[in-house]
Amino acid sequence: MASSPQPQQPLETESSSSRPTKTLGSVRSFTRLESQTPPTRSRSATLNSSVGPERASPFGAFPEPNFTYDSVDQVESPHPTEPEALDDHVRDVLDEPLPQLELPAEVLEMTDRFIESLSAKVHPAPVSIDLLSTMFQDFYETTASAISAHVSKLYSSHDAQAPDQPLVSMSEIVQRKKDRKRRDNLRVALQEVVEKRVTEAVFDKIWRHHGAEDEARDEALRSKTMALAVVGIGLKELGLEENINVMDLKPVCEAFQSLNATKCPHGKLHLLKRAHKAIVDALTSVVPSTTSSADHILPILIYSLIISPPHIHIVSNLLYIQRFRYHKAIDGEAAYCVTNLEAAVSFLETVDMGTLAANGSPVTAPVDPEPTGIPSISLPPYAEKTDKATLTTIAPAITDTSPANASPRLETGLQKETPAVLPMTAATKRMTYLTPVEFATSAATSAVNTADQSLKTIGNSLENSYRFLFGKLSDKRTDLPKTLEDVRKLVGTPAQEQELLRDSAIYDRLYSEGLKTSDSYGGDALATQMKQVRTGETTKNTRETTMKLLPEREVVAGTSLNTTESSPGHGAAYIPVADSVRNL
Amino acid sequence: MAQPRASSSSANTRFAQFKLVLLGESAVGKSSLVLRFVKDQFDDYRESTIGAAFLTQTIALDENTTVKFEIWDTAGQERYKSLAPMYYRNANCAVVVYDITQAASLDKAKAWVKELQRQANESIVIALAGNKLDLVTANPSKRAIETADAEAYAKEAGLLFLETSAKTAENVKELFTAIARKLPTDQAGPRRGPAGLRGGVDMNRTPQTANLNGQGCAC
Repeated sequence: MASSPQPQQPLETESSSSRPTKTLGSVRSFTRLESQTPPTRSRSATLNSSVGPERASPFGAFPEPNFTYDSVDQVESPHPTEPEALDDHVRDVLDEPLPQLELPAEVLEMTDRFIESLSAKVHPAPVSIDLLSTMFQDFYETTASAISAHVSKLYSSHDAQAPDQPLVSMSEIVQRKKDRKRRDNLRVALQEVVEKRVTEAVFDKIWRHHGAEDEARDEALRSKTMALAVVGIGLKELGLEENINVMDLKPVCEAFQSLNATKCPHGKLHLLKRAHKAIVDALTSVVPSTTSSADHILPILIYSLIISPPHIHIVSNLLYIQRFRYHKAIDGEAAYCVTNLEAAVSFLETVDMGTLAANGSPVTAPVDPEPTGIPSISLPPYAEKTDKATLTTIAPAITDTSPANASPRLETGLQKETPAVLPMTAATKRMTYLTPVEFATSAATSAVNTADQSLKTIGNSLENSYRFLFGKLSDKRTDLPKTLEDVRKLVGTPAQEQELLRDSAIYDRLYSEGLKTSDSYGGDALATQMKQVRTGETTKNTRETTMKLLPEREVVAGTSLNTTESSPGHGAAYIPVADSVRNL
Repeated sequence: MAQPRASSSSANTRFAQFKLVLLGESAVGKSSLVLRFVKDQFDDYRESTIGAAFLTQTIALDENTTVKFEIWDTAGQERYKSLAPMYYRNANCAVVVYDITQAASLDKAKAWVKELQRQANESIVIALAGNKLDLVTANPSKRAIETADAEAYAKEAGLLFLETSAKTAENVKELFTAIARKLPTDQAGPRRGPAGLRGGVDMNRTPQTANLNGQGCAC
């Protein structure tokens, strides 16, 4: 991004990167550090690295850092090292907002050079996502050691006299532990600043990197969760005995939704932890005595993914964390949460709905004439489950205009789902008139579109969905419905529609109470998609329903066009970025 | 690959951290067992944000050796069986739990052991725990699996074995201590490189995440 290394800027202001600092190699104050550092440290010693104006090497995306560890001996002077239960608390610190820290000059320079190297056209072919991830990991490794060296220097004069002296007092030991903890915290915090700076700078190149299949996997997963919701998979089918109120899972869904609003892996990981915490809270609010074991947490996590709005892009977010979070900083509880999500996604991607239903109590699918057992929330979620991904298949050029994909140059505060709210509720209401089969049809349309682009998995999962749906029907009635007309007869009973409406009320409430960050693309995309459906090979009855709602839809479609049109202008500034992505 | 974090920071003190995975059918008491271990014996229990699914506990094996367990619970329902490898990858040790009052639960446990021996980290230390000893103590007729049978199996399969009660804490601490003793606290590499490089994001951080990279597509 930055056209030249800009070593010493306050990190929290992204916009400042456009105003180069002139004083190279000057001593900057470490605002936050002052209060923490021992008085005897020599600050200038940390800054004799050459912060030259030279540009990143044209060879290799990741030039060698050009500072020197000139005080290495001092840095590596032995510290007292009592065994201890290592730093759980260090990680806890990360749950707090990042402090306003300035990076040491040499680290800042490394960081900016890395960012620059990512944008430089030095690679003959696009860099694969795996290589990109490796480059990030190598980079983090390098900055971690630079940060360590820096922090040790800050404290070294203080610690230097320590090792040879016998431990006289308890208070001294306590003090040392405290110091060590403080150093650890500082290292972690500085590393977070590095991660934030890098990932935010190149976010739209690395998010859903176009060499990867993240988006298609999101789409496939969405189709799958839709199908699971259609057949009424609930917590029971997922193996949970306890009865959890769907409303209690709202915070979980909210956490998932927020994933798109943050660009740094640290933030996403934090939200993932929050989702887990919300699961435990929901569980203990129902059964206070329950120990929240994996037997409980995993099913609830999976169920939360099923009922979450469609635009959570959970696979993309998971992969983003795994690729661009410093691996050594995914540990302990965070590592568990990542694995849990990975497992939940894997389960949803591969589960055979027939066996799932067979495992649990009989599934009360919408095809069941008696609406009694339908989990109240199971249907409405996919009132929304047509999102901008569909739009993307129509106009791929605007991929990056979704809120979370907004330019890294925007202030963090601005990147949050600005357009949201308006057409959503209306759209949701409209969509609830559709029968499950029509939802499935629209899912099919979008999935097929995506599958055309690349992936076979979607086809499979969808095929399974259908196979199950129809298998289900054939279990219930002796003749298999042959046409959508038949299915609709089975599915779209008046009672069923009423049920849908009732559910939609709950859903609206759920979302109007806070989940309504869903972007307007959702509704727009559906409209667009329904147009496709209408013009495509659909049966008469689908068409009828569509026609009924046509006027409204046209309006929405108009909005959609506007969005599409406005985006190139909005995105114009980033065309070079897009170019450099291709060169990654 | 799954090197435990360990260090010999001076000649006579050692610290090692290990990943322990819990396997076994639902309702055999996996999480009760581990909660008992984590809460009971030690004062420094801190409530985990994710309940009993992930817990840590540090024990002092002797005055010079400290072992920290990171305990990963797995969902015991049959339908999640195929997900287990994600949890036991890079695990240094495993506790496979069955219920001594439920005959079928030992079969499940045996299946887990077999899988671990085939697919997990080669040097994984596996302990077999026959839980709910308290039920049998109270009412011997409830026993469905003879101690001797389970013991013979464990011996043959090379497992640590104890019958435990999460309820009364019987043999719980013993189980984890036995595992800790069997783990290579002394042969592991240093936890930290040069002093001063240790800490939060230090260079020797957590082995279990070391191969997350590139695994994205495996899920």
